[in-house]
Amino acid sequence: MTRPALLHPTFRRISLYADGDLDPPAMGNVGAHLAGCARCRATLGRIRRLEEEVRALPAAPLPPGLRERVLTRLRAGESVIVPVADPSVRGASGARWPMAAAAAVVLLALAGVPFFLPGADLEANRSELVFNPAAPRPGDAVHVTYRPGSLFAGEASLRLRARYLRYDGLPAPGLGRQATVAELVRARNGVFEGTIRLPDPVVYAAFAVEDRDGGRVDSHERRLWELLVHGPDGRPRFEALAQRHFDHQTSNWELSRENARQATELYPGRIDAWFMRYLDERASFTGPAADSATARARRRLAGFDRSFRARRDLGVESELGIITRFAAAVDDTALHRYWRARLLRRAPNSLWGVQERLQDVLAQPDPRRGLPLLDSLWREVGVGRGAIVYLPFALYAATATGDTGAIRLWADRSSRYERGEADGRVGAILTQVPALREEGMDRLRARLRALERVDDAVRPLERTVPEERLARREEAQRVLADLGAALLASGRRDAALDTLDRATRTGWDADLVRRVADLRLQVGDTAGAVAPLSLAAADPLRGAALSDSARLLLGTHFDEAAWRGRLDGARQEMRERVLVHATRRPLPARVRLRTPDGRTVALREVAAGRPTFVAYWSRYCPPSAAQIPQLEQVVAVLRARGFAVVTVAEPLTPEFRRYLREHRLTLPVYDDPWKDLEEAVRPWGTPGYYVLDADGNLRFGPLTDLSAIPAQMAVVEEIRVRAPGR
Amino acid sequence: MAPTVSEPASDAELVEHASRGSPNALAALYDRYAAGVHRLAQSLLHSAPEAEDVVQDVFLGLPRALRSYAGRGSLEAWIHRVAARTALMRMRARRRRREETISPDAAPRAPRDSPVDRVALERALAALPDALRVVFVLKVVEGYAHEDVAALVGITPRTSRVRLFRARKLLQSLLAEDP
Repeated sequence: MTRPALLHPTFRRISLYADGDLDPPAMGNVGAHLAGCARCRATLGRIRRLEEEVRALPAAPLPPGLRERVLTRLRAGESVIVPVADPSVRGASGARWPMAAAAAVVLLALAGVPFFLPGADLEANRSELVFNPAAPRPGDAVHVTYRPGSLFAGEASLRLRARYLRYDGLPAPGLGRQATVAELVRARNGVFEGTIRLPDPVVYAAFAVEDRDGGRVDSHERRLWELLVHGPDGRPRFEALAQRHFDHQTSNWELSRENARQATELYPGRIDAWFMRYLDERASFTGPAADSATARARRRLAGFDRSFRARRDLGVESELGIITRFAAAVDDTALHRYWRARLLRRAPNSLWGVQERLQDVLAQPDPRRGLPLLDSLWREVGVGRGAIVYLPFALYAATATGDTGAIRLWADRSSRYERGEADGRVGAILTQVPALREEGMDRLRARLRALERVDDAVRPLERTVPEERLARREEAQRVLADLGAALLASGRRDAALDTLDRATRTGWDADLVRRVADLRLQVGDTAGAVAPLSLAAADPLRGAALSDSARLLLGTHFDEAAWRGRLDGARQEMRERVLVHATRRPLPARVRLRTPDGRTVALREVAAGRPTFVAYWSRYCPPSAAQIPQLEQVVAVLRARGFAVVTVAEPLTPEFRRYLREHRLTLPVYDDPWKDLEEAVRPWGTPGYYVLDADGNLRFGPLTDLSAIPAQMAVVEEIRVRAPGR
Repeated sequence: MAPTVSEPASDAELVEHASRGSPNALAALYDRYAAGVHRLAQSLLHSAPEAEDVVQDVFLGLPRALRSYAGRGSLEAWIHRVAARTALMRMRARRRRREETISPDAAPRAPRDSPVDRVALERALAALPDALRVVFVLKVVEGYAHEDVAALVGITPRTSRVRLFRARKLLQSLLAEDP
């Protein structure tokens, strides 16, 4: 039997494949062949590279004086008739298959072709996932129809992955935190279909669709698709809204707030809805807005207090516990004292009862006295609810006592609760305690072994398998650095230095390479410190300052020329390491912005042919607000290097301008009233950072961390400089 | 009052004023879009004087042409389409005047797997027959779908696909090492 995957496709077929222009079975055949054939991958690579180079060719400048000539002729009343309609088309149009760019370029990456990976879900924006029924009742079977965008051309079946959450916030039994819940099979009309059944206690589910290898993921542009279990009255169940709220809190504060608002509208009589809303507002607002949110919450609380006092049938989790925490949250001491006493009398071991007792532990200044209290609370709640005992706090308190038995005990509990995911953090803490150093190193080694494989239960829904592999590789490097430091502390110098080398072999983490350089210098290994030190010095953010002192650190035998050579090599290395994360998504040519002084400008005018850093930030989103000082610093560095910077936060009202002035923020803040930039970048919450190249292609992002931005900007600029003719 | 260059206006406002012949609005449109029009014309025609002619034609024709711009879709994309048609019209006229031949020696060679030299790349593009270069530029550089390329050029989408493949093949051989 002929196996198509073994025959080399013709250049014509590879060309059609590059454009996604083959029919689905042929796409699959050629794709399968490319996966195993370096020669054909090289052909595809040449096609891509050539086109990239053609697109990178500089435009010839407009001839001088042309503008004046055109305007003079216009003023003189000259006119030309230009064709505004296409010529008649001969013949009928043929079938068109959408582009499977992601598949093609993933293969290029496998072939080692230095190319940009397009974001795995860039082509999927027109996809649709439909549930029937859309408002399921508990335990219902739900039919799922997926209409793919152009991401999954050629696939016969896809996987539906989900995160199922129960009413109590725990994962559904046996499913882990994320799991494949259905296979979606291609039907005749090109859509994919499947069926899921929500296990009974599940009230909220988030979904993404991916191919069988997890190489391409459609995460609905990181928004995921959602399903909320509904009650008999047709409303989404309150518990479903509560779980959605918790799910969004870690990813998108704006949606979280919107969800809390919806909960109070649908369930105005529920105190837990109002408490949820207040917690969000308190976390988000500052100044007068926060004060008025607290005043509103107090009035609301007083109303519930009046109606709850006489009742003896209050629900512990949904009413009694909530009003107690609500009173504490708005600092109403009298109300809090009254409700706390009632709660602890009636249900001291309930979730909220434990929360109240935990406050006593946290108020305890001496960790030796607090730790036994934490221990008894832990025994009451058990490992499943370990989070409410504040495990990191317990481990910290144990370390502060110096009691190795207590440290080991809480380390074990942390590991069990987080199912080994915390082993890196826990192991690093243990290695700080000489008596537990070996044990800590064992945990670090266990974590390294675990990081070698991708665990689908912990892989976020929106992350592809290759992206997860990269993320795990980055964690492995940090674990290796901790292990190297511990080996060094235990006197195993050679093993330590070998481990530290492995820690900095891939990825881009300027802080990590600096740390490794310092450790090598500490043990007098100057020669070994050169490579990590030069990598640290190549980082555009802090490298310049380091470069000047590096030669002093390395000693006088390392001359200026040799150092320069090293630094050049390190910059090249940085480029290659950073590029692993690069994507390429052309943005629309016309994106309008409003400047702080009210003018309309095009993004490309702001960019003026330079790489551009785009930051979405918010003073109301706690993670974003916490990064504002670092954002200021990074933006200052980027502007000093001549890069363009655009930040978008909120409409430039007089109040917001006052805020910027009062906080002495110099960030260039633009308005996006037409949502052109939003449409182009498709940001997902704040903070969201993006790097555009000089031609307006999105190269990196969304990122929520600023540490790699300077290196990414430098690399994007360097590519432009190095591109043919630039 | 017509918007002035120093007070950037929306495309919709500029279209309204430019279609009535406002020099200021036309100047603003020129500032916004002439570079893109010039780049496209230059890529298609590979002739500096002809690309300049296309820019002049497009902007001298705008006041009248804008009346058929319905405001659907982006103005830039619409202007680029007008520019592409104008350039293609010139190309057809040029073809009526002379036949082009391809000479494999028209372009210098560069190593197969190294980034190609910019001059070599431009000469290889210039060496492509017009029919192939047009499809290559519209599809690869401008990002049109084959259906749109076909409509602009007056061919079928199938022909557009075939021409793209031939253009790629020819470019690769023009830039390849000695066979």
